[in-house]
Amino acid sequence: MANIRLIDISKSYGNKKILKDINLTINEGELIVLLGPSGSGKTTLLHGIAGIISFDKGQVYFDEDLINDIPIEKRNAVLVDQNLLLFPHMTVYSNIAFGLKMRKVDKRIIDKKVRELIDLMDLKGHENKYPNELSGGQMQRVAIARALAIEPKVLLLDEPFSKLDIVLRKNLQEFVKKLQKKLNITTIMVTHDKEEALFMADKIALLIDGEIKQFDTPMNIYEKPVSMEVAEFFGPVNYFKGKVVNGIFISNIGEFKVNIYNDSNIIFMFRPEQIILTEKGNIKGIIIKKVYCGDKVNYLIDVNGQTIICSTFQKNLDIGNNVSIYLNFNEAVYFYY
Amino acid sequence: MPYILLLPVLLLIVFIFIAGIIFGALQSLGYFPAIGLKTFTLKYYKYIFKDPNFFSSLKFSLYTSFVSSFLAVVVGVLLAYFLLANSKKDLGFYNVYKIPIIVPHTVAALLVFVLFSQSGWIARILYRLGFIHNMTEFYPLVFDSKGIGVILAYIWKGAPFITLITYDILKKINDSYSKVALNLGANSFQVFWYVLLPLALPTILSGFIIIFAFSFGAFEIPYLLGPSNPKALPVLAYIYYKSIDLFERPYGMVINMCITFYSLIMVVLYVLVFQLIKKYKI
Amino acid sequence: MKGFLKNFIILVLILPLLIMFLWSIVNSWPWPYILPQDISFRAFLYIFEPSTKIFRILINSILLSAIVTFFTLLISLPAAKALAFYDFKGKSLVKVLLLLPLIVPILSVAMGIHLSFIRLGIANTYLGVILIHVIPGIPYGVKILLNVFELNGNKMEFQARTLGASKLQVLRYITLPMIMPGLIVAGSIIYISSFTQYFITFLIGGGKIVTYSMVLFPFIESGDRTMASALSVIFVINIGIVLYISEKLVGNIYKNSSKYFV
Repeated sequence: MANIRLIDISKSYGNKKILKDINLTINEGELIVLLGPSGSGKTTLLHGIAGIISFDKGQVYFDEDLINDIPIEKRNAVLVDQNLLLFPHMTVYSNIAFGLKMRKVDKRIIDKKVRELIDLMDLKGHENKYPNELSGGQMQRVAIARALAIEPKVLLLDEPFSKLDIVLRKNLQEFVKKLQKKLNITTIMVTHDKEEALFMADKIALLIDGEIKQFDTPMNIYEKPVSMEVAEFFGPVNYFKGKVVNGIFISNIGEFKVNIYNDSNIIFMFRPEQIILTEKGNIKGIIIKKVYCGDKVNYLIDVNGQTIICSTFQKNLDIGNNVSIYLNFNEAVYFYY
Repeated sequence: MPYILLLPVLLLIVFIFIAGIIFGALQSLGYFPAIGLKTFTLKYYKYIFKDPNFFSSLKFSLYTSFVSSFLAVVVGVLLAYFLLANSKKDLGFYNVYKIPIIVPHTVAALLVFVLFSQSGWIARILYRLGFIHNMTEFYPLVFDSKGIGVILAYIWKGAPFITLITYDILKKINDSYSKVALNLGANSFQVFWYVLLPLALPTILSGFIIIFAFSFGAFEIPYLLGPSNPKALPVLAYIYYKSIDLFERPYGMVINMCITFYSLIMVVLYVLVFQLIKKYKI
Repeated sequence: MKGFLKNFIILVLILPLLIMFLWSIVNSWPWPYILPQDISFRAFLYIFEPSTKIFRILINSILLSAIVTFFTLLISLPAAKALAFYDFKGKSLVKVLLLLPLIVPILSVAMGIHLSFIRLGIANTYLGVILIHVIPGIPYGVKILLNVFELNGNKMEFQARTLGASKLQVLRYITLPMIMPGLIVAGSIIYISSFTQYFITFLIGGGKIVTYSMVLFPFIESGDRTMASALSVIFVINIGIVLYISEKLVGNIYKNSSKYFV
């Protein structure tokens, strides 16, 4: 277990810059999620940390050790690929024991360690099965057990749950999260699934076009995005443009008291669930579209010519209804344009 | 429906291939109505199995096939591994190695002949370099009782074939499982020994079986390059078969049955090996 | 080291063919000369001399192998389809049966069936030779096409059917174009297998049906290096041309061909 520092990491393939001056510090025992759309460079970054590829520029430190030139087999940074790649000619037991066997660890110690992991990973009774005899979830747990067996300094997970169905995925997400905290193992996980990222991560690094746009806790990155780009990545948003004069925000949906004194070109951001439908609202609107989503309903509301998206548990409203909306500008995030 | 689709192929296989084996078996058992033999007997088997010539032929065929196939596999796999480390920049080289695959076996025999006979090109080089002073000093590699010419021809033909069929699988393993093994701390030798080789082994074995069975049952190369004594089994079978005395034919058929028997063992092994390949699904 | 090894490998692969080529263009090349002293094209002139009929035999052989190739593909195609898309009783047995000619030597089989061919009157005829040539091609034809079908699946065919294509249209516009690379790869292998058969042609053709391999064989047997080499050069060139054409047609023919052999 170690803390990890990435300093000025760059990587290009041909003319295409995949990673641009990445800086990241990960504390010991943290679970970091590298989140981003496909092609954003997150897997490249992970492979570089594992040593499968080398970066063009920059340094990678595990604690105080510069590991740029350490070959892949000596890094102790184990990658669990999304394809799992369990050795098909080895049993579950041999797969888990593989890394220790390669290090020529004493057989009894290997046996003890493997049995511990089999218990821990809930794989009892499957020791002598071959990968093609396992279910998706079992294969997943074997792959993680195989990685954990060598007590890596850092565990690297590349879209580990992407091939599982939704129920199994939820179960394993919880399982891995608990396990990670229990073993206190520094972990970097790559995913493009924002819900998975929000659920699993201690901190999320949002990677878009080879740059880290924000590195923060799930709550902060969702509720206090540093840019509109980050905000939009996590889902639909409502923007209200305007200017602030003497503590009053003036926009086409009305005038509101805010915490800022004077500013022009300001944009306030509200997520759909921050659009509160209430009798005591400070804005009037009319519902123009209703989308039923099961646990909640999304309404599109016309306010003075601007369409607002609202997500609420109130299911009894209909198109044409007049509604009143409350917006809490004191806690809202704002950007400049 | 599937039976109709399969019918033409199965007709040919059953009425030519299987029938050929069955008629061969009947003739080997002395049932040969065309020349008036109608009683089943094991006397031809007894005769052949007592014949020391047969056993030296069997030994010769097994030995040349095994040695040539084994060496072809070793050379072929190493060549594939070598290509793997090299291939990206070197498309030309990547294509050159396939040349022996398209050269017919008869031509391969000629190549060995012009290079390795006592008046061949290698002997001439050695003469020029002063290693030998006369062509008879060159160890006879063609028509020799050790079958070196036969083995050389089969290696030259077989090794690139093995490379061809193992290259893809080695590449796939190398791109995925080898990286995982490295990542888990295996060194390059361990990657080769514990991951690359065992995963590729079924494919390698299937290649071995194909070239072994072929060299065991083919006529051309041992006929053109082999010694007159002992003769390879197919050559011996043909000599009995072509004898003017039709009553000699059943002896040839006994030898054919022997060749078929060994190849059927190969078929069983092949099927087993193939199940492993399917199971690994690389 | 790597460069040396590479050159050595190329040398081992190419040198024999080079020496053979030199042999094909000499008048005589006596011991102990390393390079020929006396260049001549007598062997090639002899081959193309109409009275020797060798050129005509070459053309005949090409046609024969082309027919064998076409016929083998024609019967392999439905068989491969059946194995790819249907489950039926005895499927594994059929698979093994169709594999047999890859491993069990055709020579023993040909000797066994020879008499029946004579009885049926197809020994010493083109028909007999074509039939016996088809046998070793079947495993390749079925296996390669089966692989292609398994890889492609039949979703596209069903998609086309739902869009209103008739069975014939599906075959014409979907199936054939999709399996064309497989057909060409399989066809080249079957062609080469047929073109290079010596023994079974000799046996079943009874000397009446003369193919190019049969012209070549006695020259190698008797040690006439110049004639044998010249004939071999043309032999290899012929195969090379067939492969070149197929390669042009499907891109690199060998790129994905390894799976077809195992």
